[in-house]
Amino acid sequence: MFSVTYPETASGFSFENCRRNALLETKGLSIPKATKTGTTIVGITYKDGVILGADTRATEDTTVADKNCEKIHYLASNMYCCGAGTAADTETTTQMISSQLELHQLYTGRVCRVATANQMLKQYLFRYQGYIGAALILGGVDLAMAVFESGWNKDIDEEAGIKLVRDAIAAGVFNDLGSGSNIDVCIIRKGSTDYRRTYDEANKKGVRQQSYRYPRGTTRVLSTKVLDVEEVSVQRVEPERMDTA
Amino acid sequence: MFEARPHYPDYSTAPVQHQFSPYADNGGSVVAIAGEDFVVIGADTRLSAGFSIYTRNQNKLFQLSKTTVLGCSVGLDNEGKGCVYSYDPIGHCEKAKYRAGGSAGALLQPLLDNQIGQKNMEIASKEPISQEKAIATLKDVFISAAERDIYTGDSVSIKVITKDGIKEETFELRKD
Repeated sequence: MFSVTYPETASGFSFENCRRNALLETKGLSIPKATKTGTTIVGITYKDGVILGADTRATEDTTVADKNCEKIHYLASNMYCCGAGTAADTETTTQMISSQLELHQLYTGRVCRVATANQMLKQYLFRYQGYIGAALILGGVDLAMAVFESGWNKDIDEEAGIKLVRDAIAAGVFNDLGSGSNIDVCIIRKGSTDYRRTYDEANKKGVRQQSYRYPRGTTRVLSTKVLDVEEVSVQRVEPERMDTA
Repeated sequence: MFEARPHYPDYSTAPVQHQFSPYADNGGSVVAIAGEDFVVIGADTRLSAGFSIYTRNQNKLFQLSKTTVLGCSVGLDNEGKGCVYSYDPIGHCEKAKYRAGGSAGALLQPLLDNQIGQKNMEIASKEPISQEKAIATLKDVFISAAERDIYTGDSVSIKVITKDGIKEETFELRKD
């Protein structure tokens, strides 16, 4: 029978849950909102490889939690990965995948392919249905994408590529309040990688005019107790060997 | 129970009520410090909404009279002494010697309590704060606020009020 509610179409999106969600909302269920990660991470391919870039600001709501954190994570000798989202999740996810890649590399005796890491990340993140707050490899704010739209071409050389990645991250650092501080860049070539931590210190910290050292005696002494140490003996203890039998 | 027919709100003929919230928080911070015969007040110049910056150059200090500037509200009283008044959004008012307000208010007020109010210090100086020290402290606390509060940055505009009139200056902050 022909259904009025759900027309039978061979392809396209299904909106059948929209009705259910609307009903649940009227019954008081709050629909989860999308979280803004507040990070700028980018990646481009260039003539001889890949260039990744990231800002170094970590925020907790409107407060800057870490002014110089690392968002470009090591995966394998030929692979790095940019992470945005829940800092702890991006860190542990990349570490776990990195560990699995190392084992895989030892088992197969060859360099891991990026497709392998990609598949492992996909399967891992899908298994947790979005509850692992890790937006990996490529996020990129529109601002950063706009820089690429205007400046990228497939034959771009390394120097120009790095400059373009820096400019893309700088667009996020200066115009997105969730991004800030310094710019990290990672260049991955065939056979070598080049991680440039703090490639550009995009923002210099203001220079304070005064010293804020407290003079001795600022803190109140509540009580004083003087112990007379009469005898001091030093005894050396040899560390025990771990039982490995 | 589920209705037999789907409900499409866009095609509904029932009256639709629209409403909007007239209030928005555009961030930014103000700090005012009163001295014996002067007041300094500073406000950052960033205007923002959500994660975006509207402008890096928004004036938030308003001169009300020859010896009064509104940021919080600051001026010289009839005896020529510096004084600061702060208000909450519905008009409750308090007179103070120093005050931090706005998005970094909660970050800066304890710092001012310690550095200006000399709270929790054993050897407190009895001297009233000098104009130079007040201005230097004000600039320094804004540097700190710009480090940790995403809504404070770009630059600070500072006004120094004395019986001779109002002096103005600006001070650059980080822009990220």
